[in-house]
Amino acid sequence: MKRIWLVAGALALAVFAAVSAPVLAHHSNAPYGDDIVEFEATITRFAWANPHALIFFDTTDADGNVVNWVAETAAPQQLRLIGWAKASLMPGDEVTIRVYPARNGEPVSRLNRVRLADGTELHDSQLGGDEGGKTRYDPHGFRN
Amino acid sequence: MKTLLRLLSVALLVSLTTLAARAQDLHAAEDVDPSDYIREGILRMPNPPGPAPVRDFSGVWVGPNNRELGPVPPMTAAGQVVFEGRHSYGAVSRNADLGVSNDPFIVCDPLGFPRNLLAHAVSSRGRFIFADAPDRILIAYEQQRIWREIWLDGRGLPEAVDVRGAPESRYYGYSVGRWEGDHTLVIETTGLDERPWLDEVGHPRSSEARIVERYTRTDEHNIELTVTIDDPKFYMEPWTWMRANFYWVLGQEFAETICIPSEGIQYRDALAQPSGIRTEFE
Repeated sequence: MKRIWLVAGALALAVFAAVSAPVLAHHSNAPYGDDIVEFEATITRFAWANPHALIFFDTTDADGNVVNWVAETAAPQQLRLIGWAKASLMPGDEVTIRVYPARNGEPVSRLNRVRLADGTELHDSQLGGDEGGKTRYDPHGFRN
Repeated sequence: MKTLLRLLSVALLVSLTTLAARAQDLHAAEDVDPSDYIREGILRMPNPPGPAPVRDFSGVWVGPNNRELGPVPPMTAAGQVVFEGRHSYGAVSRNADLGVSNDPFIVCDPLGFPRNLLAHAVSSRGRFIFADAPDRILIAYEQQRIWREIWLDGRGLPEAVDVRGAPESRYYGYSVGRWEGDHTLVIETTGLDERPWLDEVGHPRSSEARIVERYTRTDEHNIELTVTIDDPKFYMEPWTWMRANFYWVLGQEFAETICIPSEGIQYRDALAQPSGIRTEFE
């Protein structure tokens, strides 16, 4: 399974690199690096909120310390269109989450995608890619 | 014949019910056929569009976000001064040397017209409804639960605002409409409050701006929109600001999406600041 993720990740990165210039829009993602990091995590809170929804989650670092992370994703009205709901993530959910961490080393990030224990996968509208090529997402209308 | 009609009605009902169920649960199915959609999340109507009804836009519509923005013309000196005082979130997050962003939407200030149209109804594909009311058409946007009144009773628009004896400026202005032929509704808006940004970049629009929206219902399921702006205080010439189109919403339902100030503060504190983005509202 891990291998599939790695292959998918490599593909996603390649696609992302190819299309990132036009796709990065609105809250430009300059604070975040281009590398995806994957965590086994526990959801602590899901803020179904504007301007962007926030996923709060805990991970354990190499020393066994709990780290409180947050990942931003798109706004609820955009997420609804790609399968999300207010109750998609609940406190206590064990997930595999892939994010682009901030360049400054703080535990803040932009979501790539998250996989729930039951195998359901949800992706971010901008950086997670719109599967099937059904949209060219540009949340606030400016490809700048 | 009657039996055939009855059978056809049942078949139509069954297919509509099936589509409605899919509309509610469309993301549960992983084998969704992309041809069912005009854009991700926007279901194609099951029937081919019939002709546009006469002088009737009533219903819920959605923008699939294939809009075009026209090039912004040169600004006047006054417009340039306002523009230079604005620091968009995108520019600041790309280049920290630009300082702090003062985009009013960071703290959920109302977008005002026409940025609400661009950002919410078009780019974010938020739904809106055209509804009839006495002497006017109402346009209500699901995002922020904003509504506008378009008067059709022949009244004029304020030529000036915020001077003695004149009405006060408004975030969403004053709007009047008229029909051109049977399928085009032309809306003119003036009297805008100058605080809202025209767009996410921070272009200004003044209380002297006259904004014209021309909606043409090309068939049962489609509306085409052209928006032009004439704002002599801030721009050297009028221009076509945006072209966009809207599609009939299967099920005709609204969602609720509100930018809540306390959640804007949460975003600023939990995400923007730790990631290194600074905003004026701190």
